[in-house]
Amino acid sequence: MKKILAVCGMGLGSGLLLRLQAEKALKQLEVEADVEVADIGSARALASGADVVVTSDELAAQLGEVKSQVVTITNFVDLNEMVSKLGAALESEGE
Amino acid sequence: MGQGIESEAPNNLLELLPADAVRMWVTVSDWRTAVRAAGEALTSSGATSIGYTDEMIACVEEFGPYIVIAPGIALAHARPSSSVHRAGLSWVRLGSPVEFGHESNDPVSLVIGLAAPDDSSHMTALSTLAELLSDDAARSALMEATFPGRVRDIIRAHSGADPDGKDA
Amino acid sequence: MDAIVAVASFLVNEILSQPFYLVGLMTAVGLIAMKKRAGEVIGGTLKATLGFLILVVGANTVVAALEPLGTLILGATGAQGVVPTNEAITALAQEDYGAVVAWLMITGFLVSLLIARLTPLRYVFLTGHHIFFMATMVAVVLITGGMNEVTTVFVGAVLLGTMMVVMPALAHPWMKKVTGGEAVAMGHFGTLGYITGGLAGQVIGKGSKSTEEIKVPQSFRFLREPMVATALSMIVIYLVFSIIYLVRVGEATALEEIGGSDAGSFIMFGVLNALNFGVGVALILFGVRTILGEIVPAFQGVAEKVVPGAVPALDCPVSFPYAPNAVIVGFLASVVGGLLGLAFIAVALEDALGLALILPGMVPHFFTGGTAGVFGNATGGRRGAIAGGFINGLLITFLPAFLLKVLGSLGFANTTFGDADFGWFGIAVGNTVKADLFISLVLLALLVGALIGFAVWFQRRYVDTGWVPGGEEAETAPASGGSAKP
Repeated sequence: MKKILAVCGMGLGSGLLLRLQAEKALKQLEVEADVEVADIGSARALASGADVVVTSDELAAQLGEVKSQVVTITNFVDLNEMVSKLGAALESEGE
Repeated sequence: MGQGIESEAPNNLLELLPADAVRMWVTVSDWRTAVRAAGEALTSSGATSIGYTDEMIACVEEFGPYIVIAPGIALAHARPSSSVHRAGLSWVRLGSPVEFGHESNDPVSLVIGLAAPDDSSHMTALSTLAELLSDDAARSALMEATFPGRVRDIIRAHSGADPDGKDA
Repeated sequence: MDAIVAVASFLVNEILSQPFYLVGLMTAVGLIAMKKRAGEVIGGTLKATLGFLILVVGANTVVAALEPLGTLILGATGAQGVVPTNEAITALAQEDYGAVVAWLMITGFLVSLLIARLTPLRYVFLTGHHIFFMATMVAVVLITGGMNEVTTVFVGAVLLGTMMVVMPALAHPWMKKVTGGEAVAMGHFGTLGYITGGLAGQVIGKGSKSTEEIKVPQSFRFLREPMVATALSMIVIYLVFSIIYLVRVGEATALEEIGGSDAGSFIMFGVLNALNFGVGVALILFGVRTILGEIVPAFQGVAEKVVPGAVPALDCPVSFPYAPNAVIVGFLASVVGGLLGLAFIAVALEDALGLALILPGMVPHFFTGGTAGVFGNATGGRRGAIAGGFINGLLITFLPAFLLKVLGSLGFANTTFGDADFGWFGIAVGNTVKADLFISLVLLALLVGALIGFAVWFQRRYVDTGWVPGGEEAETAPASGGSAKP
């Protein structure tokens, strides 16, 4: 099962929003994956265990180099954005 | 998916956002004053102590304006700490929009304040909030609301369809 | 029987005609109607009453601080000098007119909701202190004109309600240009100055670059605090006139008439009064905000039911963030206009028309001049901002001069209403009311009808059609923050 890491500044609030949206997007894409939330501090370490990292553009820069695919979301309440970006990332991961 | 919530914790959006935590047409000079307004509303509704406001501002200073989660909307919050008495939300509609420095979602017209005593207690409410804001019609209606009562009415009407806030 | 009369008399004389208890009572009614708990009702009622009493303390402070200035100006120039400060004149009026103002304000607010409900003018005026100021001005003008108190409340309410809905509507095309299409209207009684600012921009501003492309020092920011701006301008005014007075009448007379033990302490006495004036204004504002803080939620509850989708009409600083440099340009241009207007009155009109010298009040010039600058910049760039501010400065110097004549004994206070709409509307109503009661009522009804009729026509023809003043580029900014990306 794929692992997705949703990263935000504090580990709650926007991170949870990302997770909720990611879960909805996964349902739409009919893909199963585990979604976890982390704050930016622990994200770097946890990222190595994830296939895809989802975060905002502001924080992606702070994340730095990670092995996993990084998806940056601009509008956290726009499901279409999440679906298309996450979908593209998962596809390029290869099933 | 949001099942592990204590039954005592208020997880209904409306409960978390009392009438006096909704402030409309607040005039602010910059993003700090905007976040401060959201913090004051949280404090006066009893959800937090004054310190939480500074924590929210510190969060943006440290991590940047990532809290501007959608065009025009900022979700001000800080880590659960001792300044949080209980889970709560505040809603501050600004009189004129304010720059937070976000690349694509500036300027901000609405600051939603969020306080949580721990990581899980507000999950259901947050998911209802996400639902509400993702709904284009509800979001426009909320941005166009002139009075605080109207904001809560829209929330009530929206949550009415999903009484437990469970998402689809 | 006697007991009933005694009780009724007590209620009317000791409670209902005392403005501070009256506002408390009104607040209580509002809170009870909103089904608040007993504690909240008592707290809110007390707060409203205390707020009013704070206002009274401010008024007394202002009077004491202003008195020597009158003597100074008279001695220095032979004329009555007036520094327009809305807060001060409103607070002064409460002593004699307070109860009427309270009734008029509440009723006027309800009338405005009715008009908004029944016409296409769906605006809700949310700038509480301006509602309070306009209610006061209308009450003073009507009673001075000979109307009795009860008639004043009803007639005044209609006049106030009309203004609260008409002015935002008339400013709306320009306001939309300023905000880039936001659903926020201008709720401030300096609107005549803002519309002329926008028009001036259209006339002379073609091709002029925006004020926002200049580097203007933000050091004028401190003027946004009314207490600071007022104290500063008063210091300047007091110093100027103290020195002129001293030179004219000599040290001995100056010390006798005003105070101090020598020239130095005479001057500092003036400075202290200037600072106290600022204090008084701050107290008045605090009192007003305390009262409004209690009444406003009740207002909102009612407004929501009557006109649910209305456009909020907000305080003028709402426009400032859209063009912060224009605010400063407009303010400075307004002061220049004000000084020129003052010179003109002093030299040409004063004796001819018996006008008072309207000195520049920093608060009116900053807030209304600034807003006029923003409107002028929106349609005509830098030239528009300068022209808008300048014309506004002239307006707020000439209009108050003529307004004084219809304010009765309050026209002899050393302060008056500063913003343009108080001026033109007060003059219009004040002169109408000089006629017979019946004729006055007819004329006022015509005035109201004309204003509403014009506004409705204007709304349909220019606002609802999305007409953009100055044409060309339709605003490309999204309609309101937070709406979905296209």
